[in-house]
Amino acid sequence: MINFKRFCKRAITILTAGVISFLALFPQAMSLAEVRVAYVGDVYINALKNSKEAKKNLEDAQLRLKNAAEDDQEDVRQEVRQKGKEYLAKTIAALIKYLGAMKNKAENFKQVGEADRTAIVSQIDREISWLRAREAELDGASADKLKEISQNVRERWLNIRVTAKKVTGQLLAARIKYLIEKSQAMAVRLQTKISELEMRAGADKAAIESAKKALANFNNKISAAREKQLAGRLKFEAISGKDNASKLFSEGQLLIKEANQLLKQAQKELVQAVKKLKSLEEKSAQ
Amino acid sequence: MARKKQINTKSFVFIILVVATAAVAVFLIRAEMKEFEAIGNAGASQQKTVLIESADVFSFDAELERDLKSLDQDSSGLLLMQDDASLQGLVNDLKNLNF
Repeated sequence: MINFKRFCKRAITILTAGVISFLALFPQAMSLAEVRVAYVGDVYINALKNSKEAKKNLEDAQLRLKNAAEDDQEDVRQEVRQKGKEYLAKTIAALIKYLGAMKNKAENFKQVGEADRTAIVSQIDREISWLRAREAELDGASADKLKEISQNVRERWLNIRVTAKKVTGQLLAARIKYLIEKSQAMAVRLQTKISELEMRAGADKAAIESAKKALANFNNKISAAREKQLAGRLKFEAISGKDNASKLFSEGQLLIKEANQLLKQAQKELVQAVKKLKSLEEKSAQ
Repeated sequence: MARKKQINTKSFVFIILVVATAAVAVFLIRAEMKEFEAIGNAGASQQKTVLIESADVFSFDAELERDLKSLDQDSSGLLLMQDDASLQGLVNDLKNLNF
């Protein structure tokens, strides 16, 4: 009879040893885990929290200034300036983390071509670099310089929002493009299969025609999806500033949704085509 | 003799557990590596290659269905992120700063 407690202890020890040994032998496993964990959602949330806390500290200091005795006013005024600088620094940090989270999403968004991904990531990198440069200017900056940085960051935020919309649209368009190309590759292989089954002796001609029709329907839906995807992609690429970003993004998103719907309809046609091919294969095997 | 048989049974069970864990880990890691290989490769020939996972045509419909479901999940997260209003208030309040 096995002692259950000892059995569990030993099993856990050996399982742990097994997993650690495996990870030691295959270091890619750790780096892949790091890539997965690298989604910086929590980092961004913490940066937001820090910025909000800094804002609260500034508001408290401003209130103290209001109520400060004349003798204390200069000291409290200095404190307000310092809190203001911290708030500016933490807000810039939060913006950088936000873009970092977007960049991580872009780098790990599945089924996107490398050329598309590189172009998208470079747009985000441009904004991150600009913010890092402003962050570096904060140290030792005069009051006027801090005002200027604050003003520039507010204006740049509008750019950042535009970039966020644009890269989101481009990622979605690239993903749909990948699925369209995959579907087209699937169609080619299905056609090859149909031709192969057609060549077999005693092939059911009616069933072959039915399979061909299902494949033709699949191809038609894919072509229609491709047109919508191209149109959507053009909308996103035309986004150039805050004046046109929302409108073009909405229009592009609608077109991408339509492409997605067409792909789903194509998938239903694919189910039919595969069903018919399976049945033909089974019949010909008998 | 009976005692020796008991030890051998235990050892056999532990070995099975270790092998099963390693097999599951290999399967999961290979699936991840396949996915990230598609992301990591940057050559022009790779850009033209579309990754069909299924070896036979009879699994194409299921594969495409999975891809479309995955797209729905991934895009909702992405759309929420681009529309994040949390920063708007913080950036707006920068205009009230007095240095």
